[in-house]
Amino acid sequence: MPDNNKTQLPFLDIKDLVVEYVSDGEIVHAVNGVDLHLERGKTLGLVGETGAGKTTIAKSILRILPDVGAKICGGQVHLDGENLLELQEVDMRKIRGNKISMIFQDPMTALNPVQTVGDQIAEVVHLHLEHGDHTDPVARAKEMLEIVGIPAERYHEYPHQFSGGMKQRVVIAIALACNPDLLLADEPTTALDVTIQAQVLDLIGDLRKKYNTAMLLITHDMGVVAQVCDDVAVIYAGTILEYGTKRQVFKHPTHPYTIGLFGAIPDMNEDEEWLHPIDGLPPDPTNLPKGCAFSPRCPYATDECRKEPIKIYKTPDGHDCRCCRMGAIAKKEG
Amino acid sequence: MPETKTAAAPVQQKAKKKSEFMRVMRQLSKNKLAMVGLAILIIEILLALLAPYIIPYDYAKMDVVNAFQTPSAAHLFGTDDTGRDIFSRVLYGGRYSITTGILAVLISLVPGIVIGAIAGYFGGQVDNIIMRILDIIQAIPGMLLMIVIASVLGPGFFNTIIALSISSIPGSARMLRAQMLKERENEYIEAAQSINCSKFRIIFSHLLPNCMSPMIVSSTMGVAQTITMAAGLSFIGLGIQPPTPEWGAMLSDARQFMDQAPHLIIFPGLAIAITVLALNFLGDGLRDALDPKLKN
Repeated sequence: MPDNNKTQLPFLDIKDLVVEYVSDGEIVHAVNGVDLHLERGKTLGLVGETGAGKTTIAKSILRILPDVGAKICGGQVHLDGENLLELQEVDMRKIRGNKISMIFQDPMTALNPVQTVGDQIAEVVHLHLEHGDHTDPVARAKEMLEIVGIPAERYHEYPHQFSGGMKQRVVIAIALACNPDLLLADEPTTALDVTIQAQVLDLIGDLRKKYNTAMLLITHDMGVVAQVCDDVAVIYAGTILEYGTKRQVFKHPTHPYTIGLFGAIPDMNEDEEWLHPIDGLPPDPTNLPKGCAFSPRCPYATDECRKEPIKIYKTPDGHDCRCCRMGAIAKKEG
Repeated sequence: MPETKTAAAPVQQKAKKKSEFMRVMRQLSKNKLAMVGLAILIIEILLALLAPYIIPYDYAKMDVVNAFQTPSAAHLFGTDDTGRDIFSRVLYGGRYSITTGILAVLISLVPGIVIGAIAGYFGGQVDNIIMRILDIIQAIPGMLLMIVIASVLGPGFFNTIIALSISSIPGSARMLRAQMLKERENEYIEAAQSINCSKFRIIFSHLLPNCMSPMIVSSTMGVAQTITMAAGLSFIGLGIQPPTPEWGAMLSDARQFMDQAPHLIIFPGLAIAITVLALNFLGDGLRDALDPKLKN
């Protein structure tokens, strides 16, 4: 059976993932039936606003959601044909940091302040040493530091002695120290300024090419997506609204939300006085609308949209879009 | 599973530990007050250790004729109500007072850290249950609790230490829990989970070092407090038994002669005060030295 799956399923295949949080007796619907797939060496961009469930998806893949309050209610996450959600904790631990690793959003807090950076890199290597493996964690950590462009002599320094960009390099070094097959990058550049952002993205890109690592890139920056990704999934209130290759989504954004996102990016060539935000706020995740989650903010919404959950439709160029009025909107917008 | 530090790199591991200790010591040596505190403590401990060879009189030998002598060349600190040499008693008493303070704190730290770490890391019901039990223990006045424990165990040096340490477990557990609650929200804990650290490793290798500085400061000051509490126990006859000299006990005994012979109370009092001050200096210095952010 697993052999069978291996040939059929993509490298990473997420099916109908549902995650809920319980807080103060209320159920927060963080992720509601998400499907994603990713091949080796490719990059999938997960785009959405704060609170759309992006980070929750990444944490569900690694199964590091908080013990108290968070629950994966359904779905499957297959990596290389293995359902991660059904694995024993013991087997899962061989995967964390080794086959899948994660880059965190804020390098300022993602490093332990009282451990030297070198030791923190060495730790992940050390934790994944198999019996009979004589890799020296310290040597490997020094090598990783050099790879991300930090002199190995700085092994014994502490995180506070590094700048933000360098800290993020250390975080990347930790994530890549065991040559993972899948990298979960949770807004890796959000906390950095634009020049450092470019450097860090280049660095991740180079290293990924070298090791053929697949990446799930979580971001809310369309510019980063354009620079790095192969595929794009637009997520809103825990549901994928539009999903296709970067070319498809950027050339022909079809869902009104995606159109709104692109519309919100100011055009540098025109003298615009006002930005064009999408009116309204994301829905309360404890009380999602019955139909399309975006319908309360959607300028094209009709009663049909509010009645029941929307299916996924194929757009003319063949990507997925969760909008039942897609055709009508396309006509209206010309 | 190579969960604990296996034989992967024992040599480096050892070298790192040593250099870390050296770093803290180097850092500590830059702090003048801390060095003064450390020097005082070392001198006190040396004097206490060498007391039998230094003291001019037997600490328990009574000499009623020479009672209430004021300080003089023969009796540096004078003599007490039964004519015992106070200098000898203070020096010798350091053995008991300092050991009681340090040992009681160390013994209480071990369960305190374990309980606090578990409550703080796991949170939820586990935390709730542990904290309510600690509440019950803390609802009993500390002195009363010590009296009960000491009277059950009976008087004596080690029983005093145990009584003192049991009653200070809830305090250190609570303090560590609060620190843990604060620290575990940091992203580096999630990062540690994501690279496959076990819960045990996260608690003891990532969280604890980040929670230690307030613990170290409160412990050094706790030693001071414990010395005074031990004095209280001695006073009601449950602590260290006479004629063994102990600073607190000497203080209590001297109370009744405070107005006629103040030197009876001044010298053991000074000994306690100096020790407490030295411990506080050292505690402050250690806190700074242990924080890598203050390294220059």
